[in-house]
Amino acid sequence: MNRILLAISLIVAGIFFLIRWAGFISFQTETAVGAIFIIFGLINADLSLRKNNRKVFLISAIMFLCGVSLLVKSIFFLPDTRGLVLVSILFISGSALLVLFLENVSQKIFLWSGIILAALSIISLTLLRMIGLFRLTNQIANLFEIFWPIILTLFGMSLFINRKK
Amino acid sequence: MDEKDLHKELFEDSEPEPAPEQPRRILCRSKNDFVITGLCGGISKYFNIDTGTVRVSCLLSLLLGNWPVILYLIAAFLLPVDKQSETVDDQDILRLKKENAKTVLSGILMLLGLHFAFEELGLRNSSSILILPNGFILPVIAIATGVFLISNKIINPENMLVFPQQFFRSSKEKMISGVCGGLAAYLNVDTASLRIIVVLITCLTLGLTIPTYIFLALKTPKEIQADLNE
Repeated sequence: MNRILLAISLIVAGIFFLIRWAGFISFQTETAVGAIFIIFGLINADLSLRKNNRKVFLISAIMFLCGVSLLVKSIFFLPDTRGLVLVSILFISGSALLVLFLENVSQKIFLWSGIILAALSIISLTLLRMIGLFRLTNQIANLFEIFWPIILTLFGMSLFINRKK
Repeated sequence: MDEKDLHKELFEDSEPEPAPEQPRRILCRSKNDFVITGLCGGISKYFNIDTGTVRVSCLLSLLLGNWPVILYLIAAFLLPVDKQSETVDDQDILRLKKENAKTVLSGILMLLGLHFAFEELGLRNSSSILILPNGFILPVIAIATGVFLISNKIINPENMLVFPQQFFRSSKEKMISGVCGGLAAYLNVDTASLRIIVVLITCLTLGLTIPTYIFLALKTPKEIQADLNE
């Protein structure tokens, strides 16, 4: 990942959030984070393609798609935003696998897996929604809202254990 | 010859051997292993424990209040820098820097996670870490990370990375079928982190990603099989 670009993104985001905290400007967190993700994802994807770095290319693509869904969620009125999260996760995972296929076209497995996930995202938005899938998603999302600090701690512990690798 | 004379003859002429000199251990700040002042590196060397453990413990002690910072500053001011330690080569310095950056990041993640978890559970009344309120701490961490990334001289090793051409299920790092291990090797990322992300995605999508996992597990060749085919 381009270090300078990441650093500049973090500093700009940090300054904007500090200014908002001080009460000088007001904006939605999702709008700002979405915009930063889109810009960062696009520039970084271009740079990683030039350097042939598969990992960074995939992360950039995921960041770009996350940015788009965050921006859409913040700008447009959506009746069921939690449901959108479920569909977005499925669609972004599928797109990530498709990006992996585009990066290395000999790996057809990524193409089929990506198509399966994209199809599942459409099915969850249409058929499964009818049978109350989004209600269950709301319950799961409520649980995640409570337990997100545990997830953060788990990530920290995982990083700490594997720090010498 | 009585016992006394025998003892005199045996031991009196010979000079007692001097005990091997133990190097004196002095508590001081580390010259090579440092993030801010090298205090944690010095403490870990003095007590012969892992530096990462000391560093993360110091960060987690911030959950107890502001006094660890004051204690740290006083200790860093009073203790001298270790001048006797050997100079290490550039490779070791680079390795230390990378390890320290990972340790600090993991410590910050654990600190934030535990802080918000305790607050959620009502075990911690304070809505701030140090003197910084919750709404303030995340932007400050973002800016600090940005400044660290710009100022740090860690060589970005991305040019040296060689990615595998084929995706295989891992036989070494496997939990169920080795898909995550294989994908981690294919992308050159940490397997444990990827596994956590996959589990999270599976939970958030109510298991809708499981068919894709099964498809990948069935259709992807295993690492050993792939070696035999080659």
